[in-house]
Amino acid sequence: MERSENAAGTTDRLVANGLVCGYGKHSVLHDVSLTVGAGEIVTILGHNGAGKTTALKALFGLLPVQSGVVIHDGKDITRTSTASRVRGGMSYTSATSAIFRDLTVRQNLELGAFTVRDSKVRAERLARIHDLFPVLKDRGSAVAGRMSGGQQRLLSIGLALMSGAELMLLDEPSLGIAPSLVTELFESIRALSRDAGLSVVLVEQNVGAALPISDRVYYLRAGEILLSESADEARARDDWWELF
Amino acid sequence: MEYYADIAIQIMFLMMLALSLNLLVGYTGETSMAQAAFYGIGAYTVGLLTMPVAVAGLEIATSSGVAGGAGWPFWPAVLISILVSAAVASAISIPALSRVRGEFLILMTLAFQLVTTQLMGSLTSITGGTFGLTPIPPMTLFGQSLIKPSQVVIVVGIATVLTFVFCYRLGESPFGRVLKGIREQETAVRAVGKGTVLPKVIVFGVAAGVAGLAGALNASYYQVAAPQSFNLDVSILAIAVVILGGVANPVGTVVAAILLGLLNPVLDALVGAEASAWRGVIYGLALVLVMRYRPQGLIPEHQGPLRFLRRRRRRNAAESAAPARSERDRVPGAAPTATDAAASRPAPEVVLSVEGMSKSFGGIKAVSDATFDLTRGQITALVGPNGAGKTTLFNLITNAITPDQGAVTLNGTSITGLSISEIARRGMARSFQDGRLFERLSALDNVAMAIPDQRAENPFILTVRPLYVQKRERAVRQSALECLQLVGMHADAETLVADLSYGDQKLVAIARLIATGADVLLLDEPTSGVDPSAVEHVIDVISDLRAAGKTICLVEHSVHMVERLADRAVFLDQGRVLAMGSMKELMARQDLKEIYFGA
Repeated sequence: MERSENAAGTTDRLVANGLVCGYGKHSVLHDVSLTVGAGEIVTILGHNGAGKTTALKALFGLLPVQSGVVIHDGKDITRTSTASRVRGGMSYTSATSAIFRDLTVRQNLELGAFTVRDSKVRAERLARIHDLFPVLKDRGSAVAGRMSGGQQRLLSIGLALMSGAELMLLDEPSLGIAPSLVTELFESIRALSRDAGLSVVLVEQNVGAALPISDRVYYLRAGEILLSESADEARARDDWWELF
Repeated sequence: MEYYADIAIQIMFLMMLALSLNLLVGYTGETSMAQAAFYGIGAYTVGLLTMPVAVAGLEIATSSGVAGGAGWPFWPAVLISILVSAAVASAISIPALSRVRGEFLILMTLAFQLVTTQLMGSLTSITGGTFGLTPIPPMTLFGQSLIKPSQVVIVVGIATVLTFVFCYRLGESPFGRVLKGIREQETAVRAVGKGTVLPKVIVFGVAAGVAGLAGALNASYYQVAAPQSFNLDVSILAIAVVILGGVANPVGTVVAAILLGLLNPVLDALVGAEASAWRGVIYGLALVLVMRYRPQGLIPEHQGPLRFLRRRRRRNAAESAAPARSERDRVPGAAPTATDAAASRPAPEVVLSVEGMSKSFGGIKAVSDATFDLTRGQITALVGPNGAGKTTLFNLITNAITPDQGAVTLNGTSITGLSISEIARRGMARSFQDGRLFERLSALDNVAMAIPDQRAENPFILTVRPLYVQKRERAVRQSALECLQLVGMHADAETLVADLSYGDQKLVAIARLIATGADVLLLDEPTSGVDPSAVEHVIDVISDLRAAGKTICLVEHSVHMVERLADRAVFLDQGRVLAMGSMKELMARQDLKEIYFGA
C-alpha cells in the first residue's frame, strides 16, 4: 500500500489509512482514513453507533484491524500491541471507564505513569498536573469514584498526561458532566494542545462544545467517513442533520 | 457368551440414560444432575409393582425385610415406571424451568439426586435400605421369564434401538426445533410468540421417562434395585457420555457410551483387579482431552453418519427455491408503489397507541410519560440523542421490561402487561439490535420457528400422528422458505446462521419477523452493522413491508437513514417525547437541533 508514502516526510503525528474493523462478523468501520498533525485537535463527529469509539479502539490497538494501516510518528504500528503504543506516546481515555474508581486520586495518577521508569520524570509530571488541575492535588487522597463527574474527567486527562502522551484519544469527555464544566474542560484541552504541542483525537456527540476547540472535523456515518472539513467550515453550518 | 451379553446390556443401559439426557443437555441446553435418580425411580417402581403380594402367615424370602409388592405382571409395571419417573420429573422441574435459563436447575436437580439416593438407602421398609429391594422377579416375554443375559440382551437391545429412534426423531422434529431455539436464544423464542416453559417441562419429563424405562429393565435384569446403582456418580457418568459424544447428536452419544462402557471390561482384561484404580483417571483424562481438542464432542451436532438425512432435505429445499433464486419476491399484498397505496388509503388508522409510558431505573427516569401512536402502513422512527430512551421504550411496549406506568393498546384492545409471546401472537413482534438469531440452526429453521400455530410442535401429536406431522412440517417449511424469499435469502435456506454474514443475518431476522404474521413490526436498528453495500437491500425490504400494509416502528440512530425510511419520527430526549412529525419538520426546529447537537 502507500504506507511509505504516507509515513515519509509529513508532519502527521498519526495517519490511518483504509481501516476496516469490527466485532466478529459485525463490521463497524469500512475504509476509514484520517490524519492528525502535531498540536492539532481533530474531532470525529457522528451519530450514535456510527463507529466513533470503534475507531479510537482501532487506533489504540484494542481492536485488531481487518485491513488498513495505522502510522504513528512515521512508524507502522498496525500490528503492535497497545502497551507499545502507550510507550510510544499514545493514550486513550474511555467515555465510561477512564479511571480506577476504587483507588485514590494520587494512586490513579501514579498508575498513569506506570510505563515511566525515571522517578524524577514522574515527580515532574505530577507537579505539572497539580499546577494544571489544582483540585487533583487538593483531593489527592480522595477515592476517585466518589468525586464529582467533572473532577473524574479532569483526573482521566491527568492519567493520560502522566503517561507522557503526545497523542491523546478522548472518547466523549463531555459525557455526564455539567454544561458549564464542559466548556472549562475543553478549554484546558485546548490549552494543553497549544502550549505543549499535544495532538488530540476527540470523539463527541456534543457538537456545540467540541467545535470551538477543534482544528478539523471528520464526519463518520454508518462506519464511513462522509466528509472532512476545517472546524471553521463546520462552525459556519446552520445544522449538521444531513451529516448524521 | 453370557459375559459379553452382560457387558452389552450394561452399555445399552448407559446409552439409554445418555440418549435421553441429550434431549435436555444437548437440544434444550439445560443440565440435569438427576438423570440417575429417575433411572432409580423406574427401577424401584417396577420392583415394588412386580414383587409378589405379601400373604399373612407366609413369609416371602426377602433378604431385605420388605413386606412385599403388588404382584403385577412385568410389562404393565414397566409402563407405570415410565409414567412415574416422567411425572415426578415434570412436577419438580416446573419451579426451576419457569425461570429463564439458569444454574437454578442444576442446583435443584443436584439436590433432588442426593435426596433420592438418601431416601432409597433409608426408607428401609419400602426400599429395602442400603442392600436394596430384592428379589425382583425377572422380566418376562410371551409368558417366559428371561434370566440369562443372552436372552435379556434382545429385549434391552430393542428398547435401546427404540430409544435411539425416538430421541433422534424428537430432536429433529418441530418440537426439537423449539428446544434448540430455547438453547440458542430463549428470549427470541418468546419474542416470536412461543411459550418456552411447557416445552422445557415436557422434555424434562420425557427424558426422565426414558430413564425410568432403563431403570425398570435394569431392576428386572439384576433382580435387585440398590441405591449405589442410581447415585450421583451415575448421573455424572451420563453427562460425561453426552459431552464426550457431542451434544445434540445421538450418534455421538452411542459412540461415547460404547467407549466409556468398554473401558471397565477392557481394563479388567488387560490389567486385572487393580484396574479400577485407573478408571477415574482415564475418564478424567478422556474428558479433558476431548474438551481441549474437540470441544463440540467426538461427533459434533451437524456432523456424523446421519448427515445424509439432512442433506436430502437441503437438496429438496434448494430445488423448490430454484426458480426465483436471484430475484427477491415482493411481499404479498404489496401495492405496486407506496404512493399508489397512500392515495387510495382512507384516513390514517391508529394501530398501536402508547399512553403515559414511564420507567425509572434507580431514580433515573429512563422514559417518562411517553405518548405516541403508530399508524397503519406507515414507518415511524424513534429518534433522539444517545440515552434518550429509544430502546427502553421498545422494551416497555413489548413488556420485555415492566413499565412503572402506562398503557399500550393494539388494534383497540389493551395489551398492557401481556407477556412478549402473547403480544407476538396478537400481532406485534419485535426484532433485536443484536439479532438474537438461533446461531446453530439453519436460516430456514430460524424462520420456521416463528410460524404460528404449529400443531406439529406438540410432542404428543408428533408421536401419535407422524404422517400428519410430516405433512404439516412440509407446509411450515414451505412458508418459511417463502418468507426467506421475501428478503432474498432463500438460496441460503439451509446454511447455518452462524456461517452467514452480518447483513444476511439481519435479513434472516427480518424474515423471522415476517413469519410471525404480525401486523406491527418493531425493528431495533435494522441497518446497524450492515455492510454499506447491503444496506440498500435492507431498506428495500423494509419499504416493501410498508407497502404491504405493515405498521412499522424503528429505532435508528442515523438521521440520514430515518429521513430515507420513515414517514414520521418521534423525537425523544431524556425519556420524554418532545416532538412528532416528519423528519424534515423536526430538522427545521431550532430547539431540537440544540438538543441533538448541543449547539
